Amino acid sequence: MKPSEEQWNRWIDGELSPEEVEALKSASAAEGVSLDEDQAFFGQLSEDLQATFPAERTPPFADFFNSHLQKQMRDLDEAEAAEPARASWLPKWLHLSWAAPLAAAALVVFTLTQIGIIGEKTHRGSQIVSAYTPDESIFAVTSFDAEANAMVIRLEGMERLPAEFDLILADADNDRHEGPFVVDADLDINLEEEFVGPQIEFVMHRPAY
Amino acid sequence: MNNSPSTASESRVKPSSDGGSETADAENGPPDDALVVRCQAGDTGAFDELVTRYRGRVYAMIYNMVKSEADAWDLSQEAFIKAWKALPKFEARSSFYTWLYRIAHNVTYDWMRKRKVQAEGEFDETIQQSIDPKAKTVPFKEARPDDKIQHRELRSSIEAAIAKLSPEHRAVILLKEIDGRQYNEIAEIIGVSIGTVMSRLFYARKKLQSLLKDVYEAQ
Repeated sequence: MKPSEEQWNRWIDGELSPEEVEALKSASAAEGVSLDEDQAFFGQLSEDLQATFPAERTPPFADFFNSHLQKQMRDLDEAEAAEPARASWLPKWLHLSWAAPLAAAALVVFTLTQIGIIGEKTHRGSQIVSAYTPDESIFAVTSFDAEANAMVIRLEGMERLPAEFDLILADADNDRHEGPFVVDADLDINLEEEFVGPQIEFVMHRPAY
Repeated sequence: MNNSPSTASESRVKPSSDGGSETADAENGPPDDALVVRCQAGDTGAFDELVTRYRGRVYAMIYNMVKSEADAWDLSQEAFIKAWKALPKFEARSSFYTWLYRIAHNVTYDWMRKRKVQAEGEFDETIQQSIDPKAKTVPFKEARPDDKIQHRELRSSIEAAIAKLSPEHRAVILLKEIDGRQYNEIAEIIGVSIGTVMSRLFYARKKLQSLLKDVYEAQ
């Protein structure tokens, strides 16, 4: 019997019970598979990995490391104190913690669609078919930059975002990021955000075909 | 509430030669949870203690991933700043250290992703440097010249093999082998299921085995 990935890992890590080991060995032996060799190899590798990669390593200029952090923390506090109207571009109810993610999610939603080949023959085209911004004072300008082979979406009319405002992006291919800017597209798009004064510019790079 | 690092993690920490491991502070000083409460009340001094306690481990974890002192330094700073900003929301569902580690992992992973490090493990060669052989935390043992050369070659091969893993697989193998993390802790730190951890660990180990088998057999 071939062990499952979990059984195999737990065998290598010595985390199987004696009964489980016995059962695994019997089943493996019946199929002519020896697991002892793997365990010996990974036992040695484990030792060598620990000798090669330190688990603790004092950062260079350790005292400065701390003092620099403290300075950044002070700067953060001062910036917050100096900006009582933080995120003033959002309505007041959006400051409620439960409402903020919802509101952010609704801030702008783009829908993209793939419409085939346009322009240069190496470019497969995309088109923004809708860009919804609940705040009417904010509008989205979209354009295709052939030189960068990228779709550019610019939000205009926004106040400069506070430095501590974490902008999170979402795309369909990345389950690690969930956030306010939703892209619904078949394309495998990499998003990068740039802050340009009162605008936010998204450059959506398309994969090379 | 347990705000101390796990025993499994502690047991892997190698004492440095310059007066002992910084994590020894965790045993001698106030417990993490007490410091966290003080931090949440705005006590920057308490946070400074936590930084001193964990900077070595956070920095090492990031350095092992990115292999650049300068980048690891900056990313460690970013991780601690994010932790400071997020501390008011920290609810101690996990230990402080696991929580901090997760932040550090995410900061590092996002940085690597932005550097367009390929998931298949095609790392930018500019970030592949050898670990400083004078690193204080590497166990030192006088060896014969032949052994030294062999050991150096082995380390070099191991570093090259680890560098060929994707960031996801590299993170899992380092968390398991270097930090001695349990499967559930790894899952929590990198935000995946235990099944995914098992799968990545299995793949990473098999890949290392294929890359290093000849090296070990030649010894």
